[in-house]
Amino acid sequence: MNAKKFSDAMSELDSKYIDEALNYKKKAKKPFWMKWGAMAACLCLVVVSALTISDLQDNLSGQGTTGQGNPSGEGTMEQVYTLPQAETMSVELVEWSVDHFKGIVVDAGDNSIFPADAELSVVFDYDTEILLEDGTIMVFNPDEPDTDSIGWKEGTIVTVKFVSYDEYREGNHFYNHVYASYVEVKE
Amino acid sequence: MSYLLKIVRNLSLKAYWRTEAAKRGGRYTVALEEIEGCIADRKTVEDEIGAKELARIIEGFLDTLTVENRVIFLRRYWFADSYQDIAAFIGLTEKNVSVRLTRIRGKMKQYLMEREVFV
Repeated sequence: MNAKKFSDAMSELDSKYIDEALNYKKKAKKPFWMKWGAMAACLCLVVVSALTISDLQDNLSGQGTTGQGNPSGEGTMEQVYTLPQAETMSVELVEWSVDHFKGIVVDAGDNSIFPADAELSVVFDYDTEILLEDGTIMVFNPDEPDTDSIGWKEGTIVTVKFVSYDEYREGNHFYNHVYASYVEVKE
Repeated sequence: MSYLLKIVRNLSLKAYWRTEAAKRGGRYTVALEEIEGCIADRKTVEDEIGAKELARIIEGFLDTLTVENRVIFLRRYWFADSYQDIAAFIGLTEKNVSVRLTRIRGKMKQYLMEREVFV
């Protein structure tokens, strides 16, 4: 039995792993707005919301995002989807943010979720690998986000590989978040 | 402390498998079902791997993870914590924990396949 063998193996793990999980202390995270200034964060939120909501209102209606769940028709709801294997697409970078960039799909590639012209946010999470232009790979740290050091300008076409995505719905508006596992500038 | 926890866990698991509690569902059963998809199944005796050998391989995989991800993995598959409990323990959202465990399982599957591990 697979599960039992795995369970038996877990029982044989070295104690150091158990101790680490037992004694782990969660990091004291400062809220985003405290770090970057409450007023600056609120101002950015208002400006970005005003600009993007008016742009998304027409563009998001009729977008086909398929997944395993069925979002409810009203209110706010997040649904996380996971693909059986990573899929790839090309996205034009429209606007940078702290830990993600907004973009538009320019080439759906082998991905089965987002068609060309779909608007989404490509989110950098723990373990997201970014191939920089000097050939080095940067592993993103959301605790200390540093998208400035990536150096890609708006309009850059980025190849995005992803396994997880979520569909955030508020009223009639869909906001798609793609959790990138790997990104690089498309040649 | 971990020594005592191991004893308690082993005793609990003996009762769990003996009374076939798995068939009735429950948090630990759900956790194991998540893992089954990551481990290839081979029926021949020659291909089977022992629990201790598998443990060493899993330890090798755990060493590739960040501390936080390793803790999340252990809390789910050793302590059998719920997503909610893990999120509160680590200081993340349930969604984040769910996404992370999905990725970790995917990585583990790849890790085991590269080492031709069959259970």
